[in-house]
This record gives sequence, structure tokens and C-alpha cells, in this order.
Amino acid sequence: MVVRDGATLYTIEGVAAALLMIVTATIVFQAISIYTPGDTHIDDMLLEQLGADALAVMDLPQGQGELTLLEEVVQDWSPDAFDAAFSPLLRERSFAAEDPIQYSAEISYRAGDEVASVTFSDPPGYVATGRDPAVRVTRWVQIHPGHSVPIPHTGRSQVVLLEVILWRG
Amino acid sequence: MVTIDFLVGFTIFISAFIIVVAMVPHPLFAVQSARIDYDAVAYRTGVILVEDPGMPTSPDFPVWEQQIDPGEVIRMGLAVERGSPHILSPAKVDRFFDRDFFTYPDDYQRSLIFGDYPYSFNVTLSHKGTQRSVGPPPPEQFGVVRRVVVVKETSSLIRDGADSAHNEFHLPENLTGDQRLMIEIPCPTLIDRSVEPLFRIDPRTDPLQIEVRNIREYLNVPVNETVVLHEILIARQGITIPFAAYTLEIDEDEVVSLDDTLQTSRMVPGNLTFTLHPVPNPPWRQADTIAITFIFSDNPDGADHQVITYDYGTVFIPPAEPGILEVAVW
Amino acid sequence: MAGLNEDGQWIVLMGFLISIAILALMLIVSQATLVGQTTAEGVIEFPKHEIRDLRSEVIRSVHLQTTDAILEDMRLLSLKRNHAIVSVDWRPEPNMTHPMTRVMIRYNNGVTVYEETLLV
Repeated sequence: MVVRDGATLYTIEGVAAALLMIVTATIVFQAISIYTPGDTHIDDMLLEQLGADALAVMDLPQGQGELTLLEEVVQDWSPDAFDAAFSPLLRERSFAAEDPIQYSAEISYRAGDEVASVTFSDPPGYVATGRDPAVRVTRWVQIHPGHSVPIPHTGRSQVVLLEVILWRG
Repeated sequence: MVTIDFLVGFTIFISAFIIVVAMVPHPLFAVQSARIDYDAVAYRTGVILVEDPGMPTSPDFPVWEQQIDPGEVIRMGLAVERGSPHILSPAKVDRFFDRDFFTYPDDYQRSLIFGDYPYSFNVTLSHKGTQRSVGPPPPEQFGVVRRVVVVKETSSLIRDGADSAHNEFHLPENLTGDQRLMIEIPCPTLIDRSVEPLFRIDPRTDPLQIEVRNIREYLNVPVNETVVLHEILIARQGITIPFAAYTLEIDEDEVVSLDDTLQTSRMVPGNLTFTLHPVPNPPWRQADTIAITFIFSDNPDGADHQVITYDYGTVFIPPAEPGILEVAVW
Repeated sequence: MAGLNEDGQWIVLMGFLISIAILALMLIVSQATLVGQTTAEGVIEFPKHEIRDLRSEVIRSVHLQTTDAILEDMRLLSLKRNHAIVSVDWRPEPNMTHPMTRVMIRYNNGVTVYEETLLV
């Protein structure tokens, strides 16, 4: 009896050890959330930073007491001028090829006690997949009577919110 | 003696071990905690450069870029002042990318990257079509942050002989080279907190430029006479003081950098550019008016004397252009 | 069972040790992941740009004629679009050598609370 038992002992121990290791590894790997560069928060953070930076720089006055570039393009309602200034700031890179960042911009304004929005700039020919991780940055813009923004005129200076959605596409 | 039982058991064990080992590297390599760390360090470095004006060791020096010893710099921020992010000071930028002044990587490590871990890094500023950088190009894997900035421009007072509005010396009786041009720089007028930081001129930290173009026409000197720049006097509150921190360019050639060489007369054919550089502990105070007199004659009698004030109404500041500052860490 | 052969036990012991090693390793790795994630989240969740922008816009608008209407624009747009409660109080401060305005800005987006009082 004893001798027969001994003949399968190593096999049983080996199977036990194998099961133990594999079960532990499986449980452990399933338990921790794996951080992959694909859906990183870091990339979102850097993109948000970049967008906010670009808007902030465009919102610097062009001369002492003059309008900022951002106020000018919103006031004159010229998405092309906005794109000409905004896109290069987002895309230029020196350690790699141009960053393929896309954006869409809209303007929100107050009408009485309600908030309404108009589209300012949409990327041409882009079909939304709904999968690209996007970030949102905003900037306050002052507009004055006589502006060309397609919103109801109030006859006073007002503040609108420029909202830009950024993603890599 | 090796039994079949042992072989079977050991094989099962080893096979399981190999499977487990094969499972491990996948998440380990995908995680790359180092990359996260690089990104965080790059982000922090970017914030220091773009949003902080930096700090020298001595409180007597309000700015680090005027320090003579790189070891005296605690933190190298490039912003013009606290509370004005994205606006970089040209003097700080020049100093930061000055390879003769700071040594890579030690000085940058100590006062920009911080920490004990010896990170490698590259800081590149792309502005107006040129790139300036510190550090070697990054390898394949690195953390990077991109910031949008503007570099403040140097102000200059321009007088142009070809411009009919600049006719200070165009007097009918004035047909000699005996001219004195005095530029008054009122520091309290310039250091005005209500002026936008992007356009504010601070003689303590910013260079001031005086440009006289087409000097013969400007000074109303006939073609057959030579224009001679005899002397430059710098005065504080009306009292002449010795001050040598300026450069003088004639037709874009730097001709004089020392006070004594000015004593010999020089011909001035075309354009004259005078730059007054900021220095640590300048011989004037914040409330003083500095006067710079260009004497185009050694004959003090009968000289025509014109005074122009250097202020926000007379100076020209080129529009600031955006640039990209990139920090790569690995 | 005095006669039982215990020679094989070192294999199972080995398996046990390796399992513990994997556990410890993964614990460390998940910590590192956490650090990176919290760094990024910390930056994203602190609306630095938003607060700076709000601040500079408020400072600019207190000198305008229609300050109240503009501040109402900002309050409502912040609430509806940025999901943040913004309240700005301002009153002239006559007892100063230069006439100034005292501005109190309060910002709360549920995660970050920011308050500032300044003279402009």
C-alpha cells in the first residue's frame, strides 16, 4: 500500500503546486486594473492643458488696450481666422510629426434665464465615431454691441462662453 | 534514481510555472509606471517654466536671470511675473538657453527638474520659426508636455529721418552737425501696474532700445558734411553717472561696448541702434528718470537740443507671437 | 501513516512561494498605477484654467457699465455649462486714496471650492 502511494506522490504535488500558482496569478491579474497608455488620464490631462493654453494665449491683448484675438474672431464671427490661429498651436510638435488634433467649438450665451448655444466651428468632413476620448475646455469671451455673433442682440456688452471639444482623430 | 513519478510531477510544476511567468510580463510592460512618472515630471517642469517667474537665492536680486553665478539660481521660471502665465520674459529665455552660462544637466537638474533621480530631459522652444533647446534629443520612450506661450517683445523708440513726422531737428537755420538728442526714460511712468504685463516696460528687467534710422536726414545734416557721434551721456535725475551696460550698433555692426572707446569720434552713416541693458543693482531707483544724451558734436555752444520721452505713447512694441514650449523627460 | 513518503512536498512549497511572490509584485505594480492615475486626476479635477479665466474676466468686467448683467451671464453659463456655482459680489470701496472696488469671487464645482477677495 505504502509503496504504491509513493509512486504517484510527485505527480500529485506537482498538480497541486501548478493549480495553486495558476489560480493565484489569474485572480491577481483580474483584480488589479491594468493601466494601458491607450486610455490614459495623462493624455487627457495633457490635451486639456494644451487646449486651455492655446485659448489663453489667444486671449492676450494684441496691443495695449486693444481687443484680444479671441474676442476679435468671436465678435466678427470668423471661424476661419480662429482655425488659422488655433490649429497650429495645437498641432505643432518638435519631437514628432504633427499631432492630429481635431476640435469643434460652440458658443453658449444667456437668453433671459435660459442658456442657448450656437455652433462656431466644426471640423470639416469628420464623422464622429463616438469612440475618440475627448476633452472639453472653455473660455469666457466678452462681446460688445455691434458684434456679428448670430445670437439675439441685447444692446449691452455681454459675456459668452466659448466651448471647445478636443480629440485626436 | 529518477522515477517516472518525479518526472511527471516536476514537468507539471515547471509547465505551470512557465505559464505563470508568461502571464506576468504582459501587465508589467503595459503599465510602465516610469512613463507615468516621466509625464508627471514633464508636467511639473512645464508648469514651473511657463507659470513661475523663478527665484534667485538673494532677495536683493528680484530676478534670477541677472545672477552672475549659476549656483545662485534656486528656480528657473520663465514667466514675466507671478500671475501672468504663458507670457515669457525674453531675458529669462535667453539666459535659460545660454549654454555658456548653465551646464547641462547639473544646473537644470538642481533648479528646474528637482529631486534625486537623475532624469534626462530636453526643453525646446519653437518661436518665430526657430527652435532653441537644452538637452539631447529624446529616445523612443519619453514623457512630454507641450505648452503654448508668448515671448514678450523688446520695446524700442524709433526716430526715422525718412518719416516726416519725426522732424524735431528740421529747423530752417539748422544746417550744422551740432546736435544733441536726449531721450528721457521716466521709470515711474513705465513701471505702471495698470499696463498689461505683455506690454509693460520695466527698465529693471527689460532692455530698452533707441533706434535712429536715416540719421543724416533725421539730424538735418547736409550731404557734404559727416555725422559724428561724439559722446553718449547717461544721467540720473539730471546728474551724469558712469554706466557702461549698453551696446551700440551702427548699421547692425556692434561698434562700441565700452565707455572709453566712445570718446573718439565716429562717423555715423545710416542707422544707429542703442540698447540699454538691465543690470543687477542699477545706479538708479524706481522713482528716477534716466536721461540718455547722444552728442553729435564736440561743440557744446549753439548745439540744437531736442528731448524725447521714452513712454507708452512714443515707443513701438512689436506684436508678441505665440510659440510652443516642449519639455521631454526620460 | 509513519511510512508516508514526504519527498514531493517541496514542489507544492515552491508553488506556494511563487504565488506569494506574484501577489507581492502585483501589489507594488498596482500602487504605481494608482500614483500615475491620481496625478493626472488631481490635475484634471482642479480647474486651474477655469478659475484663472473667471478671475481675469471678473476683474475686467467690474469696470464696465453693465457689470451686473455680465456677472449674471457668467453665473448662469457656469451653472448650466460648467456645472459650477459662481457667485461674485462687488462694491466700491470709497475710503481709499484711490477709488477701488472690492470683489469677492466664490467658485464651487462640487470637488473644488475657491474663494478670493480682491481689490481692483
